[in-house]
Amino acid sequence: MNTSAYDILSRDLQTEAPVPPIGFDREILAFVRDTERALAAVPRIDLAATRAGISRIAIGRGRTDADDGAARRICERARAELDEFFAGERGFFTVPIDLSSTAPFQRSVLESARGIPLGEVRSYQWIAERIGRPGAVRAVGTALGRNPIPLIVPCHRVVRSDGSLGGYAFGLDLKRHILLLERGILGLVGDRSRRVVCRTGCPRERALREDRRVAFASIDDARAAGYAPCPECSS
Amino acid sequence: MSVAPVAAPDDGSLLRAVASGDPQAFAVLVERYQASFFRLAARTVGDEREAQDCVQLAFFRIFRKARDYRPGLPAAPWLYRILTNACVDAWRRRRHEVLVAEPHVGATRPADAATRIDLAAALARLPTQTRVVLLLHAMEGLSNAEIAAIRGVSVNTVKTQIARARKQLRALLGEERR
Repeated sequence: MNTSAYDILSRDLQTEAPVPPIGFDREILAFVRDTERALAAVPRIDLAATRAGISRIAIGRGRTDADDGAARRICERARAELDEFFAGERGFFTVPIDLSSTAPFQRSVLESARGIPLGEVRSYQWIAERIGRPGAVRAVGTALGRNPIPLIVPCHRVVRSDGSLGGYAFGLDLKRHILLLERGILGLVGDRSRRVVCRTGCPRERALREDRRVAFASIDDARAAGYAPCPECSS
Repeated sequence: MSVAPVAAPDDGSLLRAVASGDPQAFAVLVERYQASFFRLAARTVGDEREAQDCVQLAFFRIFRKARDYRPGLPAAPWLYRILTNACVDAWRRRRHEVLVAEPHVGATRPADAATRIDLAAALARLPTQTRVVLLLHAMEGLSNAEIAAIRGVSVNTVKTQIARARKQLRALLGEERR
């Protein structure tokens, strides 16, 4: 009985395979064309930093506001990482941030948003519960709307419980665009020659040719396949 | 006057043409692989809407990275690697979303689960890596060596995973039928 159940499954895999919707090829071509166009429109970003880290990010003219050399170097590093992010080649940020100008409630909201993994979304309610203020959904929305360091603190990964986008200080088009961009960035990439798994954006990962890349769903999956976490980037 | 039959260009030639900016070549690749990519993605991620996203993202990456394809190497594994990478990554994201939406997942099971074989449910219970390897083998008929190249594991690991997947599915399906 068990064997025949497996035989049915094997047969189903062959004969009852899902078929794509009519016109899917045209949809794919349109998606590729539109995404190319969207990714080419990278916003110009103004940055400010203290010695402790990036303190402000805004859509602007590409200006840098830094008091001294240390702050300027932080801005340069952030700009390089943001450029890689918008090119779809970085899935995490290493540049330090400075949230000292924010009040404790807002800081806890922003820290909570930082815990949402690349390419995923959570609801405003989820954040409210995470910080132990389940009734403060509206205040969570306000705190995220005033996020001084968007992109690096990924407030764009917070959406409404019904799946609609909610708000975004940089505009909903950009929120949609960034979420799309992130879905195209692999979270964990294994190097099949060296059997090491990295996060997208690690220098080792960026040097990888396409035919050496293997995605994994978790570090545990990678370990089970014989891949060791990269000492440089894996958390 | 007769017209000599024109052989359809192979995948490798198409990828080289895409790399040099030929939109027609890309359209031919999409036409050739869309159905195969879709059924594989749908079985891997267990959701047709999500599968469409994976296929679109995979073709987008193929379009952008065609330059990285090295002429002479088999093209199909190169293409399937990009697709399975997109599916595995979608699974990474989706698994977390399910945990958020349904904190008590697994506590109850649908009543009809005991009376019919739910292919998607059985597949979803396999580890991601094992499921991808099984589907490349059972649906696309790829060789163990090709699958090993696509998933970055040894041929022996592929054999072990296919055998393990069969065993686990037998157990799962047996369990469904009781």
